[in-house]
Amino acid sequence: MATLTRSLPATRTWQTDVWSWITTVDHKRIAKLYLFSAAAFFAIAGTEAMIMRTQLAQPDAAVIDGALYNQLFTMHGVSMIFVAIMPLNAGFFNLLAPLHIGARDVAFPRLNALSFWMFLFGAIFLNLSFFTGAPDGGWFAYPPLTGKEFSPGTGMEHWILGLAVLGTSSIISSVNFIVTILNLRAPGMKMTRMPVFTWMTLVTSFLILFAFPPFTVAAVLLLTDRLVGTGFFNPAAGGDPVMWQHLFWFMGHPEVYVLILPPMGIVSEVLPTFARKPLFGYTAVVFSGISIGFLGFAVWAHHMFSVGLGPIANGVFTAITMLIAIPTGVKVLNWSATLFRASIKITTAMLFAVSFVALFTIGGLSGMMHAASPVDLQHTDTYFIVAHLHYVLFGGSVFGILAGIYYWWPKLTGRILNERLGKIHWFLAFLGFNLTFGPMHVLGNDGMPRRVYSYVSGQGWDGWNLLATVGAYLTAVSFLLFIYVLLKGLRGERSAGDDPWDGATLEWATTSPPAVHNFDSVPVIGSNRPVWDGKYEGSPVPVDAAAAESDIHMPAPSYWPIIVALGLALGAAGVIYSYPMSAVGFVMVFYGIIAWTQESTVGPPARPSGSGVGH
Amino acid sequence: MAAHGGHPATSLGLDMRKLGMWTFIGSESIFFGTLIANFFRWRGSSEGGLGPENLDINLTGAGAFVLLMSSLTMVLALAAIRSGRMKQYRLWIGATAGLGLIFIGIQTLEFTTFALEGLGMGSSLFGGAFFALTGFHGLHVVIGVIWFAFLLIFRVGKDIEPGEHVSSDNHSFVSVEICGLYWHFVDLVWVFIFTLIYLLPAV
Repeated sequence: MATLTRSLPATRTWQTDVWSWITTVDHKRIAKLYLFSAAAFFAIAGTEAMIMRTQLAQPDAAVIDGALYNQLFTMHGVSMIFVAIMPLNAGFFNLLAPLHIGARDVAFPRLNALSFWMFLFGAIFLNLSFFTGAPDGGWFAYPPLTGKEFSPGTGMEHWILGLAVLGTSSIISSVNFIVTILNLRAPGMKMTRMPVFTWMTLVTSFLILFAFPPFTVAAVLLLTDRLVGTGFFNPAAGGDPVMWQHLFWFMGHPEVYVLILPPMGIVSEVLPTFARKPLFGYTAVVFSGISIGFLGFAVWAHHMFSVGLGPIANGVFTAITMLIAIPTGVKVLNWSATLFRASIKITTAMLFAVSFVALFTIGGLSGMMHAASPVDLQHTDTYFIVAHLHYVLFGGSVFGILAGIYYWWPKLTGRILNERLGKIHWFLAFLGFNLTFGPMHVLGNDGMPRRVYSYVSGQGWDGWNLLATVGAYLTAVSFLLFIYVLLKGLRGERSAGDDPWDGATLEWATTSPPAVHNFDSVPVIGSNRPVWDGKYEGSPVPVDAAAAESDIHMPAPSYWPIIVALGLALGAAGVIYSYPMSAVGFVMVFYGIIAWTQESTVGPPARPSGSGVGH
Repeated sequence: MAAHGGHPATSLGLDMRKLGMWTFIGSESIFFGTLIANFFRWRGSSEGGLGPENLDINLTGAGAFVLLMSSLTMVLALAAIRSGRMKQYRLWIGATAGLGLIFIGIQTLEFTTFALEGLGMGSSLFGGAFFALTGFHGLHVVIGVIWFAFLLIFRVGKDIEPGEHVSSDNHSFVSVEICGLYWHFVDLVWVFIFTLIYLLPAV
């Protein structure tokens, strides 16, 4: 029975505040930790890009030298993929999946905290390499270039061990979200009633679950090549560098769907809300997402057309790659049909979502071009590829994530981000993005190679490069404005209300921000638009009467996740710096796991917040 | 039963930890699949280093038998705790851990023999792939043995009365069951590894 006497801690100081963040197992606070940390790493990786664009603004420039440039493009790619966009997506998984399915938290709250801390320490460890020489062999780290002979420093160890920690964190988080989504749905929340975003969370989790183990194996084998003297990927020792490419891209290609499917889910939530009609072809959108996930495992060798796998392999991978255009096209057409004849409300989130559809389509079409292996032989290693991948990962993923931040910020904080400044942010970002990456199509077609720190004048590249750099600075300005918008959005009255956008899905049925237990009563779901049903069909979300009578017990906070994560990171770092450090890390992990299993997991009863479903 | 505070009964009727373990095993299958594929890539490359002729099939065959028997004792442990025969449950868990330790001992002997002959990980590509695959499997066995020790030391199942028939979603029972799932998986992987490394004719 809930009482009104539960008092807040009498002395709430910055120490208790920091401690509560360190020990939190609440999915919404972990979402904030993910989003904030990932944004910081996004800023670092973005700064790396700005330095590169500054160097490339003019021919024969000498802002930085080639060695640093190699480190920058490597770290920019690795960081944007593994420690910026992936954890930004994970932030949205955490924020939304439990709310979308009417759950109180994820299946394993402490494992969820462990995933976050492993991500944070892994990402810090990766970036610490800048002090001793960062990895400089590209994000794909092809041996033999990344073997001991040609990469003698410790940069590659940072890459290998950092990504091993990050990958394990992602696998743990995938297990958590698969179990959560399959097993913690509120009564009536059938799989076919789940919001598209949560569906994409599920598909993405399966992609990570199956794509990362081969990569972990490859990374370990590369590590033994470097440290123990095996020669798996070293042709001089009879090894096979192409094997690395297979194992890497078996992760690397599903990985790009790990980056794009969640933003596709975000857009599938944002578009119907502001088009003020249901998503066109819900089933088709969900199933196309699933088929993209399946096909994503069968196309990895299209990253290796120039290796010389032979006409049959190239032909088969060309054909399967082109197949992916079908489910992708289904999605784009369904989004367009959602907008068709709708009474559209233009908000910042909507502008970013519509831009996502347009820019992603451009990136998808250029992808189709080099899906054909003969065309790819012309495009590979040129700026055309850089243009393509940024149209899908920046114009696609990042714009989708920005749409999500504007859309769910009120749910996260109770405050709406400034719409006027937001629209200026959108305009600058849209313009800056296209000015940066549009010209790279031309540069690529004109033969400018990627991953080269300088170029000579007189090849027709100067003007386009300058334009790209101007665009990059404009994009940077748009993100500075965005930081201002976010800081402004942290202050002031929490006046957004529960449902500022007239949403259809379950998160809009609870308070903004939601109480720690999400919903006062367990909702019973009757359709895939439960909140719209309540508002427009006169059938408010009913509650589970049986569950309403029992106390709400939320999981207790725990500091063991951060200790285990720190132990794992120390264990990895010790491989480079000193084995005693590894031993300390191992003891922390061992002791932490034992203590983890022995502590009480049930916190004090949560108090109904006075609103939310059931009132 | 709401094992995780505040949650209603699960959507699939499956315990959360059990579903989690199955999901994790899915991931582990790909992990070992990759190591096996890597071994196959290199099983013909043993010039001058560790090769098929160095393998002692009798010794490892005994290890394989011991490990398979440990799956049987695991099943018996689970059956015992299910029907509240707590003493037998502890006995069978202890036996499973002991058999796991014997397997580790045999593998240590095997590895040490190779090492003393100078046939290390870097001696041949066959050797590298062999040590990577069997080494990671051995690590999994070690983790399993630690887990059994943990079940005994922390007296998992102490809340079950002797003679009590526990339901399949009893918290302590599931704690033992997921350990069993893991152990059977590790055993099953060894069936593949043993067949592919030791029983297939050399190339």
